[in-house]
Amino acid sequence: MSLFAFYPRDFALSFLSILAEGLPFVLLGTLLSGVIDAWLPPKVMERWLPRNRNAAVAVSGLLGLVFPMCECGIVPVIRRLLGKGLPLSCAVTYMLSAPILNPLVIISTLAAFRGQDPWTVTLLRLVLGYLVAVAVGWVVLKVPVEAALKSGILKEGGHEHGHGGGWRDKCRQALRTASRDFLDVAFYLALGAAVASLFNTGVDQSRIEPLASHVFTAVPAMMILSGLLSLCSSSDAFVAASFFTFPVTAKLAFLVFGPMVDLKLLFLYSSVFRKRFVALMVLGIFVVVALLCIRLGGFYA
Amino acid sequence: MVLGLAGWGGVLAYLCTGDRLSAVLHPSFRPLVPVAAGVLFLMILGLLLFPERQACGCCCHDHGHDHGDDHHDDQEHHHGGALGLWRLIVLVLPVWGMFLMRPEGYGLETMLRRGIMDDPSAMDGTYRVPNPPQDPAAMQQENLGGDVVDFLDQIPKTPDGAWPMAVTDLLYAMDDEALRAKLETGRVEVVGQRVAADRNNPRGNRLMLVRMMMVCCAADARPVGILVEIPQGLPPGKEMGWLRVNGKVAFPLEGGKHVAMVIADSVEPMEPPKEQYVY
Repeated sequence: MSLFAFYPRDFALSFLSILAEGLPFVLLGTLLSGVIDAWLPPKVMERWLPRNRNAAVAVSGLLGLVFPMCECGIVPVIRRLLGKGLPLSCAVTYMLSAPILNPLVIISTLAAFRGQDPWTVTLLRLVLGYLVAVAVGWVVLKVPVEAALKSGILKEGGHEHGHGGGWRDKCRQALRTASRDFLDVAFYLALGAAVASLFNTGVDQSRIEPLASHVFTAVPAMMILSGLLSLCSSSDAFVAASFFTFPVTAKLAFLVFGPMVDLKLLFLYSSVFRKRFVALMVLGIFVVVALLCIRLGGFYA
Repeated sequence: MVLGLAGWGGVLAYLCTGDRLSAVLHPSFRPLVPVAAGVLFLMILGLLLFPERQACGCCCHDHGHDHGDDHHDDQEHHHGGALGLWRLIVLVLPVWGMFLMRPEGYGLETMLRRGIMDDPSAMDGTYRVPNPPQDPAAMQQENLGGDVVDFLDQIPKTPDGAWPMAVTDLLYAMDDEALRAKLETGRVEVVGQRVAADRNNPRGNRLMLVRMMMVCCAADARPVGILVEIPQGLPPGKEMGWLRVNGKVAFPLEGGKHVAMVIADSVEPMEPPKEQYVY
């Protein structure tokens, strides 16, 4: 069996399934973004978070437990929150942690790893996900906003509509924002789903089995696989659990890296962030997750 | 904007027709698709009924969005320019996909590339009742042993006295000694797709009976399979054809571990079931 092959009908099935599953949540996220744009006053986010920026980043990492959102829906929400004054570092931290620190993901991880020490795996997933998201947020504290965000993102939420702004005007504004955001995000989701489906259906996944023997190859292999498969975080635990020849730390790397970085998300992130920032963020997350999981492998050994 | 929303609403609405939704999504996600399509059409209605207000005389922007100079470099404010055109062109992908899609599920090559799971330790640890009506009934397992074994006696058997089981039921039974012992006293009927058994097949009279197991959507579906041994030799038939297998269950020790196997009394081709996945 060749490493990669293209089967158009199977590609179409996978592609449409990702769209069918993701679009309702994207729509939910964009409806929320419309509400945020129309009703959330600017700068209010800064009042809700701790004044200390490091503490604000740390708190942002836990927001997913209170405001859960999947990785498809969170990008348009983040976009609007940035426009309303949420600091970039907090936005990035929330964006990375929410798909993992999320009640549904906790439940699915526990269920998927039943019989494979589920509580340990789930707890490690949460802790690692939180630590990586917060670490990235602390690094982003040093990054100038204009180097990270595409032009116009901050201006989207900042303008005041001072000509009355009654209830009808707010609804109209929310509707138009939601519509624009939906078309934007759906565009990137479609591209990401197409690329993900190419790999999802075309890659011979048994080829990575020989890499399971050592943690230095197993961890990066599983991370790359999670990025290529682009699974949603409520189902990836089941797939990770099925690679039973791989050490648990490699599966953890799959579970932490995938919800933060995958082919679909790369396109979604590009709707908000500059390409260079996305590339550096991905590289940073890859290195940090790999190092943490390889180190953890030593404890398990 | 209206055109774009209509396009996506149309894609979602079309997915709701025929068996397309059942081919791509877990049952619990299916209701969201027509709801999302409905919401998109409502949004279109809202945009048409409440159009963008005209710019007022006192400034250069209106309440919908800003047309001032400082927004012209904002590529997110698309008004049907080049970027807006791409957002319509990308709709070609799902439309093309819908014509190409295989509603009966993945082909053999993709199934093999994902790797057939035949070990319960590689599966989701939650033992759940499959909900599709055409699939055999299964048991819900709260703890090991007694409850499940007793429940087996309450499952309505087929006319020829076999327990209707799913492939996943037999795989989960591999880990339960009491359940294995109970199953080995009777006969089972299992349905699945035929795949050649390229291992654990010393006499060449075994095939694999495979189902695709879905968690959320077809993208994460993975094949799960059991062995079927046919004492009379393999029947004619093509790979991926649907079979109904009736026979005795065995869990022999092979290669140092128990394998789930049906020693077939009869193997009959059948039409694909309405629900092709197990969940």
